[in-house]
Amino acid sequence: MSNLEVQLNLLAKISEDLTEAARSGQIGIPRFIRWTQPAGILNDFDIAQNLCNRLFGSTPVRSDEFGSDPGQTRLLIWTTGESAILAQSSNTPDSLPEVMLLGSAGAIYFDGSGGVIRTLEEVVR
Amino acid sequence: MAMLGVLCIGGNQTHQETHAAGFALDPRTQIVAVADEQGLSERRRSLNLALAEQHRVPYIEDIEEAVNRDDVDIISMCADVERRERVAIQCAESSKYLYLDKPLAGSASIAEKIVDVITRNQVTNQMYSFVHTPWARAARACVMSGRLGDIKAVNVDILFAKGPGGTNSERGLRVETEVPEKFTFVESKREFFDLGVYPIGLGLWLSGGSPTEVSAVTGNYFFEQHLQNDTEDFGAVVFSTDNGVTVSAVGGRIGWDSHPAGGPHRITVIGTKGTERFDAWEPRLEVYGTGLKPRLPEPHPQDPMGMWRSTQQASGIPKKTQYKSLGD
Repeated sequence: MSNLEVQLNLLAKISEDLTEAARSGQIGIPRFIRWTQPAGILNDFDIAQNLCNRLFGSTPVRSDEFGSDPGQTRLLIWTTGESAILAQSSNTPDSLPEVMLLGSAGAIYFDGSGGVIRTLEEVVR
Repeated sequence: MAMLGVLCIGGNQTHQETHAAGFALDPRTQIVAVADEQGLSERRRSLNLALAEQHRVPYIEDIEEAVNRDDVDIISMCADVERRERVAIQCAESSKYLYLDKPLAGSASIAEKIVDVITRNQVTNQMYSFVHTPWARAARACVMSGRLGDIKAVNVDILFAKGPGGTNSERGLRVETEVPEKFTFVESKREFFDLGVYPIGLGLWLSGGSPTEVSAVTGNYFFEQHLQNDTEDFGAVVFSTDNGVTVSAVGGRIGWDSHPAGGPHRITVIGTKGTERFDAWEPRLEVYGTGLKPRLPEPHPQDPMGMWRSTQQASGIPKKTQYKSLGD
């Protein structure tokens, strides 16, 4: 299996699990998604946007694009009020996305490998 | 060393509760009085009086008299947003050191007016923000170090896990008001107006640029009370800057049960050479056990959303114990 296939399978699995967790009812009505994915192998937001469409039940009525890879960012708004921010980081393609899914009664977090955790010296000085 | 005298404008159930506690603890400062305007609602007046009594200082119902007292060196100003223009300008005219509540004003034009008066009087001032937190300073040091190459994007999430969420089940696109008439309610406040200043301020500070193109949304996602008062509980904004950075900022109040600690407080900096994350809860200990999970108690009648320090303490809102940040 190529790196691209592995990466796409991984994102699809995260997306499926988020959908399942959201549909369990634990977080109430899904309202907002922040999705930051690695750049490089992935050149679009198809998986993230499909996840949003699935959870929010329709396609967005507004999509505003900012910047370019890395740092490309898309703000999406649905007619039912939900919203999402999708972004490309500059992490290596084999790293994981960061996801925050806010629901009316709870939230789901996937911290992925969005960056280097800062040193203790930086925290406590 | 002589202590600096602090005048607190505004009282309990404003951010002044927390600021005053800080000034009272600081060996360099001493609260000398609490003040506000005449003709306030009885509720606001009694809350101001309560803060004065708590710190055993006089309550003065005249801003001009209070700010010009000889024993006042610092003015900590937390007047209601609806009156902030008038009071902030009176404070700035006194030329004393100013500690200003956030956000500075209810509209850009009023904020500019306040800044003009501050500039004209050469007043040393600071608006409350998150730029002095260790994790924000670490993000700034990272940006300044150049280790991420050219900065392309800054993502900031500052959300507060407070209040009994999950009470709004309605869906619909919120229509935002450019300049709302009212900001202050007992059971809700405009959360992206009030908290959005944190992520937007951090994004601007870290990007080093000024916005050129902006897109934003606000929502009523979590609380019935916010929907009823037409006050947003959530907001997200994305903007590009004149130095080529894209900033996304998310802020709001998401409900007590939506985070294992105080809420997501996170900065992600994306550069041409890499991406780094700075999180108030990283690095951390995570604690799990058979002990009872802290539960949100019955809402305080004067503050059903658990917004303020005094009412949080009075109603016995417990401290969450699952995350223990090493940066605390």
